[in-house]
Amino acid sequence: MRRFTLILFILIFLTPGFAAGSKVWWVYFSDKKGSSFDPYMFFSEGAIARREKIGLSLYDVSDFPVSPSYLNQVSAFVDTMGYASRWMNAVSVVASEEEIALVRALSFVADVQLQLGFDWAVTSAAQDATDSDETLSLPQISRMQGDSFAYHHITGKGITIAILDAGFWGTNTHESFTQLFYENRITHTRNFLHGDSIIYDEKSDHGTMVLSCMAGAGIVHAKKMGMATGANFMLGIISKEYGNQYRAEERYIAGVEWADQYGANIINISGGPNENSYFAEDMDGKTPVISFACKMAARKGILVVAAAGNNGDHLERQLLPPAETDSVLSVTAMGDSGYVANYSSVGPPPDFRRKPDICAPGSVFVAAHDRRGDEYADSDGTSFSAPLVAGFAACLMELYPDITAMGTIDSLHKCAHLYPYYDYAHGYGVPQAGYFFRSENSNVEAAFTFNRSEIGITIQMNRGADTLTGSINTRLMFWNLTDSTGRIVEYNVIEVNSPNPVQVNFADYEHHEAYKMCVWYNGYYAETDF
Amino acid sequence: MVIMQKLIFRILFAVCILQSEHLIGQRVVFHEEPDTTGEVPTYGRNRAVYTHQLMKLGVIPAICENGAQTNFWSTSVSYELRTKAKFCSWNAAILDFGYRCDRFVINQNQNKLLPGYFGNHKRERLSTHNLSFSLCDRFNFGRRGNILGIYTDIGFYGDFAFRVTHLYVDEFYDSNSPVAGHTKTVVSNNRLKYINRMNFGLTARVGWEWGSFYAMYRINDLVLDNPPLTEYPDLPKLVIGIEMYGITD
Repeated sequence: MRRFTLILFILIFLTPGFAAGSKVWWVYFSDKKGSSFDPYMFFSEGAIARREKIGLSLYDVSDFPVSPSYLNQVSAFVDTMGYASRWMNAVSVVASEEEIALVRALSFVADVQLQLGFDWAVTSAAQDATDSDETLSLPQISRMQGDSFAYHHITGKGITIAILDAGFWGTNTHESFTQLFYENRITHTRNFLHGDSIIYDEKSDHGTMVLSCMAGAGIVHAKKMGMATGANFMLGIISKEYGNQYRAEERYIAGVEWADQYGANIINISGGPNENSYFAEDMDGKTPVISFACKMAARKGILVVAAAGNNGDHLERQLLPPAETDSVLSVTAMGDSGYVANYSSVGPPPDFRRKPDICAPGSVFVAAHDRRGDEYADSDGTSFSAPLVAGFAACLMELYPDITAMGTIDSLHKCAHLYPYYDYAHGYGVPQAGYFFRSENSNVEAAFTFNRSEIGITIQMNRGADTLTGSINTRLMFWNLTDSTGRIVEYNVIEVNSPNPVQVNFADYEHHEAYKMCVWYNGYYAETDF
Repeated sequence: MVIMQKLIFRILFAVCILQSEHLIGQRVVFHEEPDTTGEVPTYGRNRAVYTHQLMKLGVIPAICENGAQTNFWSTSVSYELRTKAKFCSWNAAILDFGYRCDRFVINQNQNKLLPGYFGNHKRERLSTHNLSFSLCDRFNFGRRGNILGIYTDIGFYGDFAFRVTHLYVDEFYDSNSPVAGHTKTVVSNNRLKYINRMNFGLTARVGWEWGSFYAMYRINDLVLDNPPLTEYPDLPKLVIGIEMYGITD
């Protein structure tokens, strides 16, 4: 018995030993000495054209590869060499603590950081589509007035969208993508898990569903699931769908740099690390390595569209990387009721930047593929809000060929249905394609007025204001209070059922320094000092 | 009839009151007050303090002294509250408090030597119902966010057995019995003086986010000797099993 007990306790004490084995590290270099670079050999035509459009030098030092001499020297000390990132000027290595101490001592090594393994946080499981679910294919487009693009034959032609995801199982055989394959518009594929181009065998259809939210066009159902049915696509697998991912950061960054090299105009990312990997206060757009990679992609002129995450029902509901990153278009999910879905992560990031940017429908009808052979599903998640917006953005880029990524983000803000109202759950609202085809700005009739008294402010609905118009056909009023630093201290969505739907007493807000009240109702926006 | 009319009136009145809010007021469908203080939360799985429930399901292996053999059905079941106080990213103190029931199912053979009623029975078991606490040091591994992560706990535990039951069942043939000649007697003894009420031992765990494998080893003897008359063999000291966490954020 004593022997048995002894063995058990020894095993438990040995656990630290197992944990202290080889780990994955980023080794950062101080410079790129000895590195040579020919952009015309390295970049595709699209990547060069994108750089020229934003006036970026083709010989930007961040695009130079990592010094081969440094890589050679590091390889002598470590178990395995991984991906060498040109943007980070770093290489991923597998090494023990002792080995990495030797690497750290090299004169050209600027820093060494432990690499993070993380879960690929994606949407909840999809359900099989029923006949009634197919009607969802209409709202996911019509809520963004996507028919306006279709009416003008704008389908994202000439725009390349890279989808970095967890698997594209069944994409090559699904009827929704027949046209896509017939016209040979999947320009590049890459499986970063296995280092090859075979992507359709990984047993995850998350990427298939995401792709359908941009390019899905059912033949049997004769309904478009996305708006970018004429765009080109690059499909990259950078993670498995479930479980903690060894070397996940490395593949993530490799995927983003790959998309840049081969000329993507838009990158869609519908997954990434969650609170298992980072504290909420560390999801600040700076700490996560993948946030850095996405920010670099934005600097190279790529529009990075990121799903906000599905943390809405968690204790900490923060935006998940890279959705909290500056210059990345972060998208929350709008529920069927006309306001943010309960599963959607919301802002603000720790530094109170205005993130998320916009929202889009999160309940969608998608092309799917599973072991039972189901071809369609209805599913929920910000994973699908992001590609709907990416498809929308591709159409916008086709409509305005000279528009830059940052210009696209700005346009998406302005065309959103709540703009200029903003809050941390809805952003500026759902983008409306009709905005770009109106001959002139139509005057919106004042829906309400502010009645100020000594006690507080009352919103008085004007006669006829309950006549509902527009694609978001609800009686919802959005209002917020903003303090003197621009931070939103409170925001609400209410269902208007009375002539005086909001009564705010000054006494209730003495602890805040709120100075502005912003209200949106049925297309009409007004603000008042508080 | 009048009573019926009154009842209908009251129901209609109640419905009107309930509906009035929807008719004349507004319904807040979404409300959010972001934390503008910028303070880092102190409560969470990998924050300064965290508390969660857990259930332990264990078996008591029949590794025992001659004369006190138990069998596979000997089990240990616990329900506890665990509080974690974090010292640094890799180290924390773990305090558990709860209820545990150990059930020793005793084999019946000629060697059996336990206090109480000697001799073999149809079935025999000894159950202890304990208030249990433990204090452990936790070593975490790897970089992580607000999760429990992978860890090893090592520490000690103490029990107070507030109720102990020694139960045995005998069956024998009795021609005078009205029930077809078979008689079954169930004897349950409580307040046993030969059982140690205060027990203590070592505990260790290896776990991940949703549970762990654990082991507990009792250092003292559960069965008290009765010197100089008898030195009893002790019941098994080791419990191994799994913990399942009830984590609700």
